[in-house]
Amino acid sequence: MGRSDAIFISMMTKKLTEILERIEAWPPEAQNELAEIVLERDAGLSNGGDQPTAEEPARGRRLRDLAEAGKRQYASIKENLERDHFGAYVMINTDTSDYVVGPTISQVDAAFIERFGEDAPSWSTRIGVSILVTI
Amino acid sequence: MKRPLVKIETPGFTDPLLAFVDTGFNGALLVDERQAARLGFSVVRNAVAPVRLASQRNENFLRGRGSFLWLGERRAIVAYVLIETPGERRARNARKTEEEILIGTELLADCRLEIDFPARKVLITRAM
Repeated sequence: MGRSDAIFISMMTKKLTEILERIEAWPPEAQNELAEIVLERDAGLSNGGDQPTAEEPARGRRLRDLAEAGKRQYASIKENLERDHFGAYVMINTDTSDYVVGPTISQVDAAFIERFGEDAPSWSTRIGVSILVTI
Repeated sequence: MKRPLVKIETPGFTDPLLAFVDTGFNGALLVDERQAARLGFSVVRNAVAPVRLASQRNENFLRGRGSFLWLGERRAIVAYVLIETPGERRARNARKTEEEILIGTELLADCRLEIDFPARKVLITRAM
């Protein structure tokens, strides 16, 4: 063992060192799964458990409500938008039903922030053409 | 199944990111929340965008604002960000061996894309 290895190991607890040695024998999928848990903890994205965080159900409900409101508001202006701005992007402020239209999602996002601020709730889509992903 | 993949050196990631070039995706970038955070994107928590998947199912995504180093040029873009619970994210990522993101036609709009499937080569260059 080199000098740098000795310094590295001394920074870990004995328990963690033993666990890491055992994990080396795990199948790759299990190692990847554990790596994901560690990376999530490191990025502050989860509580480390398999259960959703306390905020997850509320977040899910909030996003579903927002999506429903956006869809409903878009349906009421869809005909005019498809006639005048087919293929462009629309971003609707779901609090006020006001909206901005632009040629790309990036441009429409910038225009939305300028008009309504960063915190305004929004729903966006491409007019007359779905945003597609082949996965 | 052969898929057109390119490796991208990206700040925030020690290894090159594997990017799936999805010409059926008309956005710029599709990432998960952890990738968005590592790319320095700010995910808008109250911004939803529906996306239609190949299965014809509509799925809601969040939007992420940030800049992305693409062909040597830093571009301000809006990324679509997967909405997942930690358990869903973990199950999806456990099936993968490398970090993978999706690149769509908005990023490729001013590029030439050549895919040579028999030679397993993907070439993306800026169109003149």
